[in-house]
Amino acid sequence: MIQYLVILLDDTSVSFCHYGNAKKERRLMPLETLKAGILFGMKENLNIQFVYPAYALPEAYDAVIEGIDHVKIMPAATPEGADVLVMNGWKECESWTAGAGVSCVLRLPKAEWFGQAGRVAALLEKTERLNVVLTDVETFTEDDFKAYERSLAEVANLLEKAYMNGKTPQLNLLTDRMMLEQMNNCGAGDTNITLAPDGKFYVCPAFYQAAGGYAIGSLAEGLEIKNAQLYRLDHAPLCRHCDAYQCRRCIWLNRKATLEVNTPGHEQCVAAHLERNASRQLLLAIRKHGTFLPDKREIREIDYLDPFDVRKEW
Amino acid sequence: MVKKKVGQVAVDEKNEIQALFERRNGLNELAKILTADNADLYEKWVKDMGETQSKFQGWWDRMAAKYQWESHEGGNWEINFDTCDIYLVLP
Repeated sequence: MIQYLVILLDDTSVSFCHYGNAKKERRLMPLETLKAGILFGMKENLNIQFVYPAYALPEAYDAVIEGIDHVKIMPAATPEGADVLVMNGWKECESWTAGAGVSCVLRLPKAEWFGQAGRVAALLEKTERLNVVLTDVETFTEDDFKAYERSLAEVANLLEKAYMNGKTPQLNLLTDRMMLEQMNNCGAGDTNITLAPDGKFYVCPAFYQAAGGYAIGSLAEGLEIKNAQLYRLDHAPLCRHCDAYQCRRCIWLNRKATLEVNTPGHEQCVAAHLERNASRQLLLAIRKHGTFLPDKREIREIDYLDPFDVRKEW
Repeated sequence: MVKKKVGQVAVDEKNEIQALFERRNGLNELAKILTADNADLYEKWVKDMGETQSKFQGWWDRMAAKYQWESHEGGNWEINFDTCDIYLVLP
């Protein structure tokens, strides 16, 4: 069931996920399209999330947006009023000071992530929640997996110390899995859809802003998701058995890697399982110091990193 | 789908949510003939629907805090307007 409507206010609206925005020229969503999108969202009882470009919108847009409940996803260049702030690389983090209740998305390539545990810990001092998005996870090699495993362990050590000091920072890669008891994935095409400046609906922003996407209806014609069941977890032959609950299961990356929106590639699966296993170690480590999340089950030990390898057991 | 009774609210509390429910239904009916180019009606509808949804959610938040009903991840609560009973519905 669709619960969220993501509205891209401009072609250059910031990417907050794995894809890079290939569109470089401004194209602001017409005001009438914005109003029609809001009307659609409210009729369908959807939570609306606006994705902003790196320039100030005309006042008339602010008035329409402020008329309804919403979430603002904004780039670091224009952070005023953001609920979710997106930063690209460490450089954009340097001058940032978080407002209360603001979540932070840090997009960066693997090379900038490895060996930077200290920087992650410093950033977690400034925000209650940090979502790290690796922008090139599909290029991971065996050496990268090893480096990723090491880097997660380093960050987990620092998180353990933070928890021992009474702090409760949230880092999607390590703390989400400790809290989850079922899959919590991207949900594009299933729990959320995107409205673009052209008045058409898309599975997610990547299907509009990156190459090779497709529309799933329009404001004028209505929503039409062909084979909608294929975006759902219960139709995902591997993922529905998996317990890397924090996995993005990025629909766009799935399609890019396997040509199936519902089947992740090897790299996404292994990266998610390395995160899962590091979360397991973190949970065990914190529990050595005392009671922690007593109503949550232990994360069991497993002997595989890609569910495809054990598909016959399922 | 599993449905389990988890509590009950007072009649005046039930009347409050029933009024909001009926208002929301009315607004949804109106939405069928509403387009964004009808500026006056659009402004009024968006404002009214926003307030109604906010009050609707607020009622559930308030009652859940007051009565501490059993909950479950992925589940939702329902109310029976005839009996004031609250049910936990699991998919």
